Amino acid sequence: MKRGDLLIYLFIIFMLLSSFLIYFFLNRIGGANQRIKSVVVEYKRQVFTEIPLPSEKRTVELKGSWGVLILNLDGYKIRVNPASPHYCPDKICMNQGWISEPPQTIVCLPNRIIIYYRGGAQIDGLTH
Amino acid sequence: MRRVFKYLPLIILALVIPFAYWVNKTEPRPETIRDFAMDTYLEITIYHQPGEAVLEEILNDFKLLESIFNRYDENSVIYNVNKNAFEKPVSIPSIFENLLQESIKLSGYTEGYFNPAIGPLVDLWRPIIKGEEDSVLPDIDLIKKAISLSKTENIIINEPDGQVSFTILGVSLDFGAVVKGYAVDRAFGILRNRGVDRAVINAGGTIGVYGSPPGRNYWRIGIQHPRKDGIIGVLNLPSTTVVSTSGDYERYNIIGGKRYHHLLNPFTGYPAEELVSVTIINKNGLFSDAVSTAVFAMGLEKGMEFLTQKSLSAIIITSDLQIHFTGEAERLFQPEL
Repeated sequence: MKRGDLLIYLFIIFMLLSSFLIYFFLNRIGGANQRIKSVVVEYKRQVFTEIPLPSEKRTVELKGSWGVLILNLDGYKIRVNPASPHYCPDKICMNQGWISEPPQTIVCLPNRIIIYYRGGAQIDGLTH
Repeated sequence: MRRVFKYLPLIILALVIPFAYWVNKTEPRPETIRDFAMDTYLEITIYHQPGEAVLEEILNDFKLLESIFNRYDENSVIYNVNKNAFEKPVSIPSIFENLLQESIKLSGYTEGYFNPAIGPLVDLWRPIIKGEEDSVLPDIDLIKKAISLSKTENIIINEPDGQVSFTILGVSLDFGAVVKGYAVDRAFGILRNRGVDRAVINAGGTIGVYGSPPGRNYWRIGIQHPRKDGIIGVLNLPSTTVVSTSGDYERYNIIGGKRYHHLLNPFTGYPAEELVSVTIINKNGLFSDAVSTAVFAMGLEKGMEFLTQKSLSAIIITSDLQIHFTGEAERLFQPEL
């Protein structure tokens, strides 16, 4: 056993330990700090549109079988405009107001539209 | 000492192989579908590959339950039962018989505060709660009549023939309070059969987490703040659990400054007062759904007493936004700062 061998072994052990640490760091800290990437609008299980976030303050018009649905964007905040002219008997989506982070969603049941965040998932579900 | 060094490469190898295996084994990428069934929003995430067939199977089961238990759909089993079971016994599929019997048991367990025969009261209040035009508050005599119809004693199950009948005209079943939790239980069964390790089932706010969480210690389930956007806190759950919440903010209409919501007290015939949100944490979804509905109607004192006596885990929020815990709930709860 030479001095050089010992150094190599120590080096291997160091590499092992650091790979452990990097693995845990990426998994736990990195995983929890995921940024919100975008907002997704789904219609009948297909992505209808996806808008990168954060967004400047603006409105987006979504045209479809429901008419025109007006979406307000501001940073990470999203809402269906309360005066949106789209056809909706329930109007729950219009009255819901702003959502600001996952796992919040806006759901328009009559039109089968789902609006949700991609990325930033720190929570597995929301009970209500 | 020299011997140790001699075998060091072997020792390192012995450590690395299981570790590499473990790292490699962790996490198939999650797959999610979102859709609508049972008049609600569904979101299913499974950590399993390939996931599509399992996701479709669960979704199809939700749609099957909808076709049986949607009491507003003229083609559903429950619609047919509610319409005809007084005149003659109606044949029911085994799923229907199962949920009906389990619900009647849970009605007894909750001292009648959860009630699967509450249909007549629901029908009376529905136009108000939906905010339909020209809807007026129900007359007290109509409420009294509906209370007397809304009794599980009015239901007769003929087990050998798989039939159900009602003893008086006007009895009406409603599984709206529990069908989501029941669906989550059935989804868990599918996950078990398919050998899926972990999944999250969100059936319109009744959330089931299945298996151990992916690469961390806890599943994290947010609880809706009852009076504003966002969450009031998070539940940290280590393994398979169903969390169900009954809240007065879900479906309601405010008339003359008073909130009329969908959680009816089967004894008074009016929307239950005092509480704004009840969350139940349990292994079983049907149970969680039934008990959250029941405790909401019981109110604070009776509800706390019931939960403590039965050793159940729950989070109760009163109208002054005070949070009350029973069982393990306080330990699992992490307030949102």
